[in-house]
Amino acid sequence: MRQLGVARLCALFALVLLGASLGLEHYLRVDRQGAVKRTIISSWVAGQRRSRVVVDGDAPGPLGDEPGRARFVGAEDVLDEGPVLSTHPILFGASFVPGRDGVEAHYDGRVAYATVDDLLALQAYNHPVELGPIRLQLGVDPDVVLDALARELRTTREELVESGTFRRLALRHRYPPEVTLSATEDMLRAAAVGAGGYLARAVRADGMYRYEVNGIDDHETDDYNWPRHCGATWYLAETANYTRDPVLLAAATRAARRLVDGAVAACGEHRCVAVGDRADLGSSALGLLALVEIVEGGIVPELMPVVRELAAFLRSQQRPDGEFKHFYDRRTNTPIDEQSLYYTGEAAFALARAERLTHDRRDLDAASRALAHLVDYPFWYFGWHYFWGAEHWTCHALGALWEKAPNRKALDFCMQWQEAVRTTAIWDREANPEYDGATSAGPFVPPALVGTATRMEAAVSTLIVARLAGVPAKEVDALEFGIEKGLAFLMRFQLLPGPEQVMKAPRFMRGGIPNTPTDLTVRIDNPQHAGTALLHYLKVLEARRKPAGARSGP
Amino acid sequence: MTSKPRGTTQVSAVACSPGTAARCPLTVPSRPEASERRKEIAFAVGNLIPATVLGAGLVALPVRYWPTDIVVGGATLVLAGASSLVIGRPALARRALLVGARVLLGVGVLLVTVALLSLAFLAGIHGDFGRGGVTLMLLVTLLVLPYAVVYPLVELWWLASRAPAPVPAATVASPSPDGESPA
Repeated sequence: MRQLGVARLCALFALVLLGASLGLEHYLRVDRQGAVKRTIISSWVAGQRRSRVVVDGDAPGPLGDEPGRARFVGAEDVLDEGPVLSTHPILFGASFVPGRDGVEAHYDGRVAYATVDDLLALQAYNHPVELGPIRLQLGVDPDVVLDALARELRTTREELVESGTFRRLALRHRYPPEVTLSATEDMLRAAAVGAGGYLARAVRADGMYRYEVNGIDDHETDDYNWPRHCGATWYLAETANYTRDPVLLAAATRAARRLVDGAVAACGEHRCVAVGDRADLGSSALGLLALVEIVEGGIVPELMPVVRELAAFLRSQQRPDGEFKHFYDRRTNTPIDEQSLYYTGEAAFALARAERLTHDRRDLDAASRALAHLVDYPFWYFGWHYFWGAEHWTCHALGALWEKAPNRKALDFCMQWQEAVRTTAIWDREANPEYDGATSAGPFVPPALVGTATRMEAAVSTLIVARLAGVPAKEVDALEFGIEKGLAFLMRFQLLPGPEQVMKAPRFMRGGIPNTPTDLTVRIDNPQHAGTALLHYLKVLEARRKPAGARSGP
Repeated sequence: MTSKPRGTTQVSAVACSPGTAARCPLTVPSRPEASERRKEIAFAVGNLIPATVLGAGLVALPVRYWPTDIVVGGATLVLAGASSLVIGRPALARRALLVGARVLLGVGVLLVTVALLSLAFLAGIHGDFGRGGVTLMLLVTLLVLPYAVVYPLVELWWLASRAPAPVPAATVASPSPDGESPA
């Protein structure tokens, strides 16, 4: 009898909980495919909103007005609206989908809107709520949004929270229109060259980059990172070689000259890239990569001796087992046998590329041994099938070495990694179908573009080798499908032009690859990684059109 | 003197004929069978596992938030205390197990309720959040349900099927001269 009572109680509770959950979900749900209820039309100058009208249905309103100089017009359709349960910071913050939802506030007979464009301009989608050391990424930053709405409604935030009411708005951009891009040659070319163009503009007269620029307010961070200077210069040089555009060629020359004159220094009997007493392998590896591209393309051929010197430094850091000592103490002229993420793969790739210029067998051997070390897991360690590092350099090295030193194990490794990349990517997220194929940063936050970009550049290198190696067509097709979707995602959110209405300096930002769809900060390695993926896949497509026997890939 | 077989205990049984049943003590003054005792110990040890997980989780939390601290900390202490009682005081074993199981079930039900309502909230806001989100949520649910809901339910079920709890003879005084056990 008592058992029956427990069972009944459990069943009743489960039913109540299920009913409450379904009811809550239904109450909050919005229809993003619905008809346009009204349209919010705003005009913007230099990233500041200057005027706003709301029209019923999908009437054009002032959309047809001639845009003035540096004046942008944005139109956002309200497709549906839903309740906001609470103004408690966590609940309020989590009540909106980043990049898709806006807020409507009513107070004292007045109404104000914080649309997607407003929230982008306020950078409200990016600020995490901080609970002690925990940084919780929610839909919007409640402080920023409530302050902005209170200003608009000419009241205090406290008063608005106390007496105001809020609704969630499901929005869609009508103008500028939301575009769906696919990985065609024309689009890939525009995107790849656009990324190179951004980097060219970012190179100052002294050869240093504007390292990290916020696309909203054009603010630049004080930080700088030499490995990223080198990586960005590698891609800039590759785009310059591809286009032979004088502006890109000049920018690549400035960045390379700055690298050689300002950062190449003595490391014992060799020369390395270092700006302090402690040199790291990654800077020299990416510096070598950049200079190989610069010399190979004939941009600054007289830098060939530096190519040889940097390659010799990398070789000197290699251990007998193929691994590298990642650091070097320039005061004591001693290699430091410590390892960091990326560096071994970068060195393997750089040496493999350098060998094309140096024709030095030692470079090829060193690269080959490093690649073998990178994919050499003991047979009993099953974990490597599931816990992947950032392996993009490994797969680049695979591609660069395949012709002269093919490594089947590395190919299997990269194929399996790419399978994991595809499986764990974002697919079918209802509010954001445009994220399909992107590498997820969590189920409720926008994906990072650079995370997707690094995986896609590795995927393209893997694709080239997979075709050469005769991997079954089914696997190759799956790999290429993942590339097409991933690149479409990158192009969709590239600032080409992006939401220029909310940007202070949209001309400068053009072609940049932002951190996320809602965080328009561009660091120089974002366009480097994305551009590499885009340009290399473009070269694959172009090679397919060429007569048989033509060399495919980058 | 005959040695008793391993695994059995001395029983001081009081014979109650049908006619004198009303005057017999409510609990049969016999020691639990060894297998029953082993199950009690097993449940006690079983309760220590979620207690450890809850305690470790509470310590690992980087932010102190008093409702969480009280609920999780209290549950951890109760579970640990109840398990200690089961092992150290066989007379109180069943009662301690009952308290432990109820507390664990309460925490489990609370966790599942909060998780499900949060999931419903997020599903309402985001719509379907794709394969990754569903997998993650399913994983969390499957990790919580067996230990925090199914296990204490099984424990409660087992306890309910064995009521009233036996009391070891050692704790029961000899019958009073008038034949009734003291209250």
